[in-house]
Amino acid sequence: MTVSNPYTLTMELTHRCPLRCLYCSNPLELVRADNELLVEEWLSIIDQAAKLSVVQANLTGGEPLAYAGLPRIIERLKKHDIYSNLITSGIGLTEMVVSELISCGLESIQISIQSASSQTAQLIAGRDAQQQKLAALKLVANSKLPLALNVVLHRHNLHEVAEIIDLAHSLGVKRLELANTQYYGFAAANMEHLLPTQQQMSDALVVYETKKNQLQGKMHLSWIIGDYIESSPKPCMGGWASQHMVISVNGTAYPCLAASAIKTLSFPSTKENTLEWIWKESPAFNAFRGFDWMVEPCRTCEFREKDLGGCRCQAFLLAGDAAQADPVCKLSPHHDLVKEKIAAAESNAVISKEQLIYRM
Amino acid sequence: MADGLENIVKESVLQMAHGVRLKDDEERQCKLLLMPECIVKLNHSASEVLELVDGNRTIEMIYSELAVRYEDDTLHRDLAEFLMDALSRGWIELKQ
Repeated sequence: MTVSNPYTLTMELTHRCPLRCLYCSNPLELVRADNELLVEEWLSIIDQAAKLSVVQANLTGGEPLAYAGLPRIIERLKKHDIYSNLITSGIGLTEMVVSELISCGLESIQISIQSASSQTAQLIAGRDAQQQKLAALKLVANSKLPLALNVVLHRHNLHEVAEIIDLAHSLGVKRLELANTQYYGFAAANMEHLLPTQQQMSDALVVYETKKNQLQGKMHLSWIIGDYIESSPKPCMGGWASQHMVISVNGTAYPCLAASAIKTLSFPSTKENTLEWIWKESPAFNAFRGFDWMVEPCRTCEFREKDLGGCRCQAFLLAGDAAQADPVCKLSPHHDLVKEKIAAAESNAVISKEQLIYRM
Repeated sequence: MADGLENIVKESVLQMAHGVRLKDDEERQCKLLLMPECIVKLNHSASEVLELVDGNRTIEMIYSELAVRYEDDTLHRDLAEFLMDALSRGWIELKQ
């Protein structure tokens, strides 16, 4: 099978972060600072990625601003004409840092807030950072750097969608991404506290559609659909190892940010292998390409080319086997597991703070 | 801040939205639209239109240039549809 080249490289520069979000996408086992890649190692990865025709890079963490080599990494991406996007909490963004990022060639920045209210933001992030974040947003909105605001949605802020959109508009934000929680890593561990009711979700969508129409041409709004809502699965990342490549803090390569959850695969390291070998030849990246790996009901399903059997990580996390159909699919023999989670969300009472699992 | 779309007229000038750019991808032999968290692989006609969205040309000028290349009765409607779609997807915006 010919393997076409990846478009996007996501670089997890560090797992260090000032925040402790309940839905953090980092794996439960965080990589320590002394195991982080050196900046020279990242530069070599970028050179190799350019040869593989990568055209876009996401710089993430943890908090990528905490990684000292960040400016050199951005400069190297610029040298290869790779579009660079920094995904940050906004903590540590000063006017000086913003000017430096611009002069290095950064092309866009994404800042997240947890809520329109400081109190809820603190519950989610495990720390009071709202004022710092709003200040960072204002700073960037008034700079030349293209800005997107990201807000992860769940049962504690879906009712705030109108306030969040108004807040974004008042700050001068022109791109707002409302992303429903994806249940991997810490979000999976905190699922019962985060999963919204179906009613909450449909109410919020009505508000979103109305606001989106009102703001057309003034602010671009997007809605990222969540897990456990649809009864048809979403194709994972446009297909396993078909467009994206993630390099983690210590150099381990994955087809997506959540894939380290799949314990039955051995993921290759950039310390021992070239990016080209990892992408084209490594067993982990080839494990779920094409259709031969599929079992029933996917193998003979009429939708298999549309949804590719859904998310491999969800299949592993819920059904214990990454080759199974995504249990979100109503045709999956494990679909009852998803229905149980949804039913539990409907009956969940107020959460008790002691049960929350914050990342360290 | 760009105007709302209700103010769009044929004299409106269009530009690429902030943070969005075209890239000529030699390896894949196509034009790509690069933006935060998203890449769009453009077909030939979409890239022809977007190359004319440069912050100087009005919608009318873009139409005239394409009309020279294509003698097509549906060009007017196709272009209007494409531009409205590109505006609503946040690829392009009205220049103030």
